Amino acid sequence: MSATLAAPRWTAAAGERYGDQLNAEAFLDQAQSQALDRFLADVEQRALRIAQIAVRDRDDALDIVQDSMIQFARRYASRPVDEWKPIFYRILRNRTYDWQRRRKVRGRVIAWWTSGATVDEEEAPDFIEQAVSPDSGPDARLESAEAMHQLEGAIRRLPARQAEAFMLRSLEGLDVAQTAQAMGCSEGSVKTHHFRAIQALRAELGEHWP
Amino acid sequence: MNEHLDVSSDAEFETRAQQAFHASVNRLDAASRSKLNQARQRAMAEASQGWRWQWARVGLQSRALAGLAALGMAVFFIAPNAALHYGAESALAEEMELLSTNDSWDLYAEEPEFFEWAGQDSNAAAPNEIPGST
Repeated sequence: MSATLAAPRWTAAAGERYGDQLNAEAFLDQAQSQALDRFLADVEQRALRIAQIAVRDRDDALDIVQDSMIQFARRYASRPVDEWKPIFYRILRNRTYDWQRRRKVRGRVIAWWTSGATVDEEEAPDFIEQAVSPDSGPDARLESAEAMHQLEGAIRRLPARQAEAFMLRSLEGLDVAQTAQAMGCSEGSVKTHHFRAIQALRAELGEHWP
Repeated sequence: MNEHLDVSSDAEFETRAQQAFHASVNRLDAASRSKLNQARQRAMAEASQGWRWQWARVGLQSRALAGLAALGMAVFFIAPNAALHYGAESALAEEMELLSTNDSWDLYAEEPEFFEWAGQDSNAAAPNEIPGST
């Protein structure tokens, strides 16, 4: 008799424990999920603009940011929250380089294939349009928009490492250690690249920058 | 060279650059925002699958550990008895092997008197009778 009473009691207790575990997992899942959602929502627009400066194309930049977010969520979401930003920008940087490499190869193949023929207008990027007015909204005439256009052009003319250091440090606001982590180099190297970038940008934009 | 610059210092230049950048972020069009939102939802779905798999992995690991512990307990409690049984069986097998060897036939051939005596002894012969003493 006591055995028949004991069995349901044990089952109920085990069920409660299992239920607690499920609740804890659900709670952790929910908390992590909310934190990740907030993080991605916070960085996605700036990441898009940074990618857009690097690749000059909004759709390609969107693809790069989407791939970066998915890769980050799939592999690194379980890492501590304070490591998220440099990891995310490291992924974004790698994706951008991958895109640039593919673009270069594609350009060579197209050049070889056409071998001197005129490039199809749909394939050819409109660099003039992109340089002058990448924004199509009504705010494009605003002074800050013009300032950003000029800044984008100047950033693109920087050496790659200087451009990276400037965008991550000055535009995104990462500290030196986070920037070093994102760029995969030493903090001293970040400081050097950042300093040189600012000097070069000031020298180029200073006279005409709105 | 710096006397031509409108921006008086690096810090001020950085501040202005950051302001221009944030203004351009705020000017992102609705289509881009919508695509970013969709991309984020896709990433969140990937992450939740990853977390489920992580929990499943933790569950599998704990079950595997429990199984290993049970196996260890079983080996600890059952193996000594098994060893005893094995020892007894192996002793019996050794005796059988000894008995089945040809040594006894050799002894019989060399010392028939001993075996005669042994046969008499087993047929209730006197204990003080020693072969060859008569």
